[in-house]
Amino acid sequence: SRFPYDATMIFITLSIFSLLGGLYATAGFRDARATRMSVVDFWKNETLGDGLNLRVAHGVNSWPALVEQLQEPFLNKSMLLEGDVFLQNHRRPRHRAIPVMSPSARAADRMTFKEWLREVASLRKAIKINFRSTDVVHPVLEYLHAAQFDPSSPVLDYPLILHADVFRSYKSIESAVDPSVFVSNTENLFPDATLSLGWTKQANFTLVDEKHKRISWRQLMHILEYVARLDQPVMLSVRLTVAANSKEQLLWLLGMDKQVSLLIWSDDHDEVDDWKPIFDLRRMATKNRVLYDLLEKHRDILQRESADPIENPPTFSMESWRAVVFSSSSTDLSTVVMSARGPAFLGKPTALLLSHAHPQAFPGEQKIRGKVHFLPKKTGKGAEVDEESGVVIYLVDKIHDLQSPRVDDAIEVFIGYDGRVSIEKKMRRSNMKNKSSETYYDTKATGQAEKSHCYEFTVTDAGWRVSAEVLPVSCSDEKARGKRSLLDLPYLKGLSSLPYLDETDAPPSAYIQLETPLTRSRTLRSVAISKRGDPSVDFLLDRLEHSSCARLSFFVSIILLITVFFSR
Amino acid sequence: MRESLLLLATCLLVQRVASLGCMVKVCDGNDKNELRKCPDRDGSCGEYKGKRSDGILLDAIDLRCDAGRKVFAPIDGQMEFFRPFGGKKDKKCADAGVKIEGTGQWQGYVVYISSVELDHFGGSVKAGDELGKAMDRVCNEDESQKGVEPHLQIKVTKAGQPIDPTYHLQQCMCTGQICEGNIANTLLGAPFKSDSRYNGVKGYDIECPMIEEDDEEGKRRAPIIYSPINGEIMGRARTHFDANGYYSGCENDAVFIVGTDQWIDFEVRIYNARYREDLPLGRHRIVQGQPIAVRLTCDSAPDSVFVEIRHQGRVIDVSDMITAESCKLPNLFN
Repeated sequence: SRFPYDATMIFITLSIFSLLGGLYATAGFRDARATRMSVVDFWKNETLGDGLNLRVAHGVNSWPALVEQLQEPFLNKSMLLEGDVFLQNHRRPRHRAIPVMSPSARAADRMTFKEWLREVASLRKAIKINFRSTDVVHPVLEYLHAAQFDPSSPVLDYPLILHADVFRSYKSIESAVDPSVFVSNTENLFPDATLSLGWTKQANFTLVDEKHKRISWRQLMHILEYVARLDQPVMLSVRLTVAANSKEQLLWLLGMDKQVSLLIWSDDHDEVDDWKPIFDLRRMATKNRVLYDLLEKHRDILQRESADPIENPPTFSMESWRAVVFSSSSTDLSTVVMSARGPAFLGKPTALLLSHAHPQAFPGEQKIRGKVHFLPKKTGKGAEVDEESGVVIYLVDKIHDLQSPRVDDAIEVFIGYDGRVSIEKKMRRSNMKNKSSETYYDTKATGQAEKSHCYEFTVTDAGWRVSAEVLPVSCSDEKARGKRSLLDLPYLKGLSSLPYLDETDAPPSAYIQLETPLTRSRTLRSVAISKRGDPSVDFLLDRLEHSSCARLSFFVSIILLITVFFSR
Repeated sequence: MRESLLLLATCLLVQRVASLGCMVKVCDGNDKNELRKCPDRDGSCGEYKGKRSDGILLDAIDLRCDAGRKVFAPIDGQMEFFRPFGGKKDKKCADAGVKIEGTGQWQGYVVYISSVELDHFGGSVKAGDELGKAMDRVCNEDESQKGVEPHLQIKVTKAGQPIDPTYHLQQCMCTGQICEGNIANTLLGAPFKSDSRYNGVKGYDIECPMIEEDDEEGKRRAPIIYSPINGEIMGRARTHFDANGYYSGCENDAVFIVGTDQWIDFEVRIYNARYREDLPLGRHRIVQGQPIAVRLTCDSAPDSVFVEIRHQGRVIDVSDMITAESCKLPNLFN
């Protein structure tokens, strides 16, 4: 009979179906991920993991441009395809506003976003959508959101970049897309994509003053306002000249503990005199994190130069600190943002940075050093900034039950943005009652350093005494290198630190100290760093380190080792 | 024995914790924090996003309160003076209010109350502290023109965005703090997850680490567990029993509470906790926030307690009521 044969056939068909189903399911899973992937990583074989090998097809906004894409030579294929989307303005209100690819008036050339996406999705390329106005953001994202669940819609399984020029550049000729609208919409409607932020176009870049051809630290804080809260990968689109002038700032962004990448682009107005920062950037950053979309002449210069990675030791060890962020009462970003090049404290003082280093047993000594860079937000005329704004370093007996950003029962070392320095012993009222011995100690020591934007500081805790030395310094690294830095001073490496008495260019530094009672556990205190005062005074900490040396315990351990050795 | 005595002593010291997410009485004489009647004489409403006399849908509530009554702080925090009418000349007689920036469990919240004649103009306040006297908000209007009941306006924001404070103020159905040392019921992992350690039931894994003693260095004790609801304690519950039908194992212990009052139809089981031995055996009444148990200290006991909540016998998702995100009872009848 034919029955067994049929049964086998049914079995085979069923298994094929289930296999297909399984494949479909995995493919579906991959879709969501692929749109989030970095373009460089996705085309690993073609780019060799280097963003310089990326080829971009610009302004593919019309039918002829699309056809051109289809006829590309196979070996020299572009990997990223860029399209600009506008909102079509109709003269008659009965026509609905629809997203289109170019604002061309001729109906024959006009391509709607939906048509474009359907064609582009089948081209097997990464897609970059440039949102050219605030109004177009919502309708396009709404469509993309809906398309994920609609089987008749084009399937997106290549990296997707959503770009908008959200930052207004100096002498801009177009209006910026509202960053909060753009960020919140992408976050809600299509989080599985790379979010790209850029600056608006300028009429003639060569005429712009040099000081506007860079990203300042203050602007970086402004960028963080939008970037720090996002979960999705973020890309920053920077002009070549600007990148050359903002190496430090860009390296800070790339060092963040989240997925941030950089797209460096150029046009005919870009003139770079000093290529070194660009070479450094290329060699210091991870290759797949920096993408290049350059003119041929600029690309050649880069290609000729060696791209071997150079040692870029992190100036801040993210593993040795832990950020604790409490919810803030304001809508502005209030947090601590961690980067391999230092933490940044923003907004209201609701964040704490705790050192993981275990407190050493007394006698011993611990030092907290670093450089603080204050970045006050621009405030309106007449608005006064709280004088007590700055960095606070808490030395706490116990740190385990933190329930608010205000640490009480601690020794507070404060470095104000105006150079005010203080060490203060703040005790919980209940503790003060019990301990009469506390009254034998002074509760506060204050000092004043000359006003600057940047200060280098060293806080030394020897258990029985806490001292702080604050030195106003120049903010840019290049200039500071010529100057003597506090961190290099030989006497500070020793135990005995004297007030600064240099005869030549004695900087008006502040040195204060306060004697303190020992902790009950006979150990040094735990360390936490926070912000105090005005939410408009943000700051960056550079080269922050917490080091402790307990010499005695070291000897004890050696003696212990020896005794163990001999007792065997 | 000594340990239980010690425990009793500590329990007496920390009698009843404040309930989470619920604000206390704001206006003297309005114990239940009632709003002004809706619709009022002029048809306006004092509820959240209700239409006010001037046609505005306001992100605030109007709490009934006669002028001259005492006004209390609804939350713990730092208080400040603020001008609700921004110095408008015609509103001068009511242009005073208090802004409280929350601390502790209210970190990130800000409460604005107007109009209040303040006793003091700054500093930290505890929930229930007297702030001043209520003022007549419509003092500039003629007596015959007054269209609404006398009231205080309360606006609450969280991370800068206005939120609906109604259910934080009245019919507040938030569970209290559950574990000592975790004032905000911080959860481990996802809310309303199933846990194989406790028979795979769905519930909330609430962080509950050991408490370090203040006076003795390095000594740690088990944290106290507070009742999340008003109810009757039924005693111990067990997760599993062995092949012989006996309960065994150190971590095999839980507390079982049946709700009363507004918590009627609710049942709560708290796993990884031992029923307080000094409490009398058998069924008896307890109130929200009362210390009822201690966390287990077995070697294998995790640093958390697991809470299972049932309504009419069904396991329910009340994440917002646990984390005090919202204290409104969700619709459980569907």
